[in-house]
Amino acid sequence: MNILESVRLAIRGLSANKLRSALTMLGIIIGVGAVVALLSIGQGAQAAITQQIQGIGSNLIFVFPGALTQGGMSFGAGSSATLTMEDAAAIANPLNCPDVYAVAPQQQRNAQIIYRSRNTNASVVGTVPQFSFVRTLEAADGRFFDEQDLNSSARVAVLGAQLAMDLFEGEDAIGQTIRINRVPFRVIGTLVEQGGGGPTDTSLYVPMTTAKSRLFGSTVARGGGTSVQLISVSAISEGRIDAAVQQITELLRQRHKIEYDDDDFSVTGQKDILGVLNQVTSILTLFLGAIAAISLLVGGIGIMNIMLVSVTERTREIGIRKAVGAKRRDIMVQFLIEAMVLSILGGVVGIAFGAGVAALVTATGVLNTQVSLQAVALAVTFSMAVGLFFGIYPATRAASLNPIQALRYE
Amino acid sequence: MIELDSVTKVYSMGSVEVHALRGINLQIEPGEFIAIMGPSGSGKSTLMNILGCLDQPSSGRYLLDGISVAEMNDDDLAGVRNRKIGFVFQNYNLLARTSALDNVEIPMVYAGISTSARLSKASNALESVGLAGRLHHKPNQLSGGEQQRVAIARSLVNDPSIILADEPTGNLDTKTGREIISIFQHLNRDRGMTIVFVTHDPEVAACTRRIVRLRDGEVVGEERVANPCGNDIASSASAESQS
Repeated sequence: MNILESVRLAIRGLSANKLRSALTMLGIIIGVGAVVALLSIGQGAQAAITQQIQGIGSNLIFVFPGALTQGGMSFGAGSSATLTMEDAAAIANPLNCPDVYAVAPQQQRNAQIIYRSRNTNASVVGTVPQFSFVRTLEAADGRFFDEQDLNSSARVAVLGAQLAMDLFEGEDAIGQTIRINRVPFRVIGTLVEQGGGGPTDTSLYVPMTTAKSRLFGSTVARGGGTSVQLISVSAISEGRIDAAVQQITELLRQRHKIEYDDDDFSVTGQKDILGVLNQVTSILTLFLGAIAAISLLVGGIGIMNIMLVSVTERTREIGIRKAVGAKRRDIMVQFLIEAMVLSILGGVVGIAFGAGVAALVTATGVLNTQVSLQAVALAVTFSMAVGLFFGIYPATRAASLNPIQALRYE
Repeated sequence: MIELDSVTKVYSMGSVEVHALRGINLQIEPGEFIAIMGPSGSGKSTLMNILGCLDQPSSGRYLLDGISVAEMNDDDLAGVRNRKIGFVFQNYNLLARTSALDNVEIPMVYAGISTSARLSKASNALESVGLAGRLHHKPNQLSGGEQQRVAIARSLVNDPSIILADEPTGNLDTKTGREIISIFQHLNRDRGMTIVFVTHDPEVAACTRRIVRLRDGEVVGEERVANPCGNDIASSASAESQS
């Protein structure tokens, strides 16, 4: 008896009890659907995070004050004031750090922003013109401030896209005057929207000098000098990021007179941050997938249950088949294939269902989900394995029935 | 050709041993039509199970077409049942929700016969038992007599050496029963099939050509039937018989 024949037989057997077969399949459909949908959402989230991190700059290195915790990163930027403008200038010197291309220190504070009768609270970032290069910010309208603005402590501001939208509601912002903590500033540019809910869109950028003299006042660092909260550094190429990190680390240790591993700063490449976040989302995705897999397992138990009922119900059929010459293997294969047909068919419908859920999530605009071949392959393999695993016991039971007793079974 | 040589069968029910067969010696030649008779408890069902290779003797020898069956494993026995034995049961034992044609095809499926060959063989077999117009009917759409004809067609399709019929008319009324018996008689006379009836009904047994009587697991008597079925069944069977 060949496989095609067995499949035909199995489908006939299953269609004799359509409702029951459909309900049994539902367990697998929900399980596979959940696996596919959750993996797709997880992968979509991962892609979104990767895109966002890559969007904040090219060949980017962050220098935070304060020591990092283990494992790569901490978000405690500005927790202690150990980095200074002078540190930034030293990093920018090609004699100290040959693999550094551009340096942008920054100091930020939340402030009240007022335009006419509208007001909002936003993060005001005091920085230098190189910031727009290091963080790949593009002006949608107007321009970013330049060296001259910096040197003259000009009261000019560049607005993130969302902030500009909130304050001006579509009006032309360039040339208008806004008040930051009651100090008037002229808007000279607005930025292209970065998307993804990052901080860039809701921030406002002013020259570092202006920020210190007019807005924040300057904070004196531990070792003397004007402190900054974060230094963003651009390496000359992707391949030189690690070298640049090394150079900056050594330079700052020298400047801060640090001998052992008790750094009062930390240098983190963009890739490290990406790596950590990817690790987090991978674990999260895996976790979600595992939970979904449990429902697949429950579906498999449903299959086993129904197959056991089916074997009992069809004892007489098994007896007849054995009497006219079915071997153990024939009966085994018949019931095993029925279980497999249930699980594979359920798997196929489940993939469609999961892909549908993923598409629905994409349609809501929260996240661009990605139904990967991997997730589909995983779901199919898993559902087949479930069918095989949970089908074996009932099939073995059917195959080992005694034909004489099976024929007499009422 | 069937040879039983001091075949015994012992069942152990807990600590008690039940001797269902106590040394049966029996030879059935090709082309015979034989009835095994006995009251219930005489061991005739056990004997039929052994003859049909559904069960194996506890001791003794069973040769079917020269092959010793007693040492075979389950799968080999299944192969023997498939190729050499046709079963007809009292309660027909057809697959429900399955057409007559598909029911008759089942033994051929396990014999590995191609789909097209199966179809023609199955319809020929159904025609030969007078069901040409009922190929696609399901068992619940057929009368008892028709269902038993389907079962007979199923037993025939693999050209077995022997057809075993266990009370084949037990669930049928007298008239239908006679029709079924006449089909067996035709198969025996016209196609030379070896047929074994297992029955407790003397009237049915009288339609065969040899009767073996069983009591308490032993053969207690054997007789030839000079004039099978007397006159009425023979004449109702068909004109060409007994001439």
